[in-house]
Amino acid sequence: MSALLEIRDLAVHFPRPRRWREPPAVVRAVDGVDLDLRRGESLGLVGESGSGKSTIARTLVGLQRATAGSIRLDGSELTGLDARGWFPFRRRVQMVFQDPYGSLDPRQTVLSILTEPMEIHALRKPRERRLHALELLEAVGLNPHYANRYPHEFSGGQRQRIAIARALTVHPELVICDEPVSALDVSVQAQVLNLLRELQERYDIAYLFISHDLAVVRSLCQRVSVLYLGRVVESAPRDEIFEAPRHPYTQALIAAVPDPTRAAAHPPVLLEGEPPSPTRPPPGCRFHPRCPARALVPDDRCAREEPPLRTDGAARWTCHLEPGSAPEA
Amino acid sequence: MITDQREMRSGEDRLDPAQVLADARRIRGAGHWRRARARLRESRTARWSQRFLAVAVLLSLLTPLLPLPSPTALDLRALPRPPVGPWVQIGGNGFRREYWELSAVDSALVDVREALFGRWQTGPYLGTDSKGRDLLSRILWGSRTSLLVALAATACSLLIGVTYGAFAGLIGGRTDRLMMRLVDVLYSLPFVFLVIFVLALLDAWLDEAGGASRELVFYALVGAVTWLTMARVVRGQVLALKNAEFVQAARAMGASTSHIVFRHLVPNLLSVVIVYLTLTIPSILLVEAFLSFLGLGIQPPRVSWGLLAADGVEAINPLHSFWWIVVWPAVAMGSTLLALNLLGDGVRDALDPRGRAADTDRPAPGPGA
Repeated sequence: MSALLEIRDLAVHFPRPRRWREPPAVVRAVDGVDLDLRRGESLGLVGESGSGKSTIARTLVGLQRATAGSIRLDGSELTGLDARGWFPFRRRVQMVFQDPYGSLDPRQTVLSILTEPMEIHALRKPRERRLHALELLEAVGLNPHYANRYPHEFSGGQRQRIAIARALTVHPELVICDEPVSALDVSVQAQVLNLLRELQERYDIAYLFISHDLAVVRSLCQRVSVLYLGRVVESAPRDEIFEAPRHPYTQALIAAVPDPTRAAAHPPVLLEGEPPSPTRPPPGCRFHPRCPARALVPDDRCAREEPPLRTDGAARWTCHLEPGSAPEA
Repeated sequence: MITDQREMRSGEDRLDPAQVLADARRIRGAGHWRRARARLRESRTARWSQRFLAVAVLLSLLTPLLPLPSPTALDLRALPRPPVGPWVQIGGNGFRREYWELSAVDSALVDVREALFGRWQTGPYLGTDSKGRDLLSRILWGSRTSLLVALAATACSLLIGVTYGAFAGLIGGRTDRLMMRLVDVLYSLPFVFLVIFVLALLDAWLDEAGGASRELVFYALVGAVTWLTMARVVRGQVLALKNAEFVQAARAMGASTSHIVFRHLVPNLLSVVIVYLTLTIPSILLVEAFLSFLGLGIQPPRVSWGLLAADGVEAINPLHSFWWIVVWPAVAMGSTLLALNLLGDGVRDALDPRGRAADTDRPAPGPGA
């Protein structure tokens, strides 16, 4: 399988609004991210709020300009393209937003919500657009007879199905899901996740699945990348991330998931402090001020040097700690 | 990919999409406008206001056709005549065609009236004023002025206000700040002084151009104040909508700005604009009456409700009580303003998104999830 999406060294910086008597500053929301996604694969992107997950998503669909780095879709470079140049790629990359109450226009019927992307990309004739929209409604498990209803007449889960159907109308190769189930009830979450999995098999779509909910990521994604303060700290196949996390941050993240089967003797690793401001990221390893393993690295290298990229099979992570000397999580 | 789907589902009993499309047409959702209309119909005050205003507008439009006395035909022989019921004096011959310079449409309508009724005219059902002019006729002809002012204000609000506000909101940044600062400056000018100032400045020039253009200036000034608030309201809405997730979604799909404006912004702005318009019209009628009362607006021999009020005030004297000269114009104006305000409130309640919050989360029955 070839790489569908290749992100190299992506950086998205926002100029902070100028304040009196303070030097101008930039918020480094995304600062050197590498991601790879193959066709038909789903990659989970996890991290706490402020780690740059949503910024990556917005950059990929062209809502946000990249400051530096490269985004390649199927071999074509996207960064630096103007609106006209980007347009053909917009069909191939679609997005499902977090809030199904906000992402559907309240004044449009479901049918016109679903035909809109096809209109924009001039796919099909008007009647066939409507027929295709109905097919998709059925495919996402909604009754196509209700196509002339309005979004407010549907529940949250049903609305998210409509949003998913909208993304699929133009046959995308990559669908970016920005926390698509976090606004939904747990029971509905499972239904939507099953639907996403089913649609992936049927239409051979790749997902970039953004979430802070590790359980959700675990159930859907084959690979997981962990973001911390605008950087990827660890990327690994799902089972390795969840069974044998290598980066101390990932270990803390996994351990923080409540698990009734875990023995009380193994308390979760607790991180102290808040994530630092992305305006002035700490030198060296960005995680070092909160890292529980920092003391194990000699010479305080964590605070002075960028951590090296380590690989083990399909897993990659960046840490000063030698793989053998890791404490047991 | 579509064919895959067809093959996958060929075993199941598939619905025929064309049939579903036809069926779906019959299952219409309750859209925003449909629900608003239903809510408006539920409100009794709004319903009666609507009826009252419909009758008022119809009367006002048909005024030149009605067999009324001329609103400017003087009768200086006697004191003001009190109201006389139609059962006492239904009318008589005596119509004289005395008007100010009527527009082509109006004078054609009066031609028709003459052809229909000849010299017959109604009696003084509401009495006459101090110069012997029929009050009912004057009130109805005056209502046409109000209608015109309302139209001018609406047109200015819609044309200038909406475009200006939407443009500022869409462009944003420095342009937006500059445009809104201009609105703030215009806002801060006291309106009455502005009118006096402009009229004084233009007076000499207006005399040359003829009296009618003075009224044009007046309408222009009324328009100049009404678009300001509309511009602000629309700009605020556009700013909010621009960041709405469904607009972002459309942008991510590759929608052009014009597509976003016409597919998403206009339909979502429309109800705010309508609500605001219906609430502005009464205040604009009041402004017209106020200026005409002061002698800054409509000039005699034309009639407007403000001028009628001024006549009424003149007629107040301690010796004779000509109450009808004061009361009837006041009743006409008061009831119209009340109806407009009640209807405006009704429309706002029907269209306001806050009123809708209660049924936003209601799931639709049926679609299987």
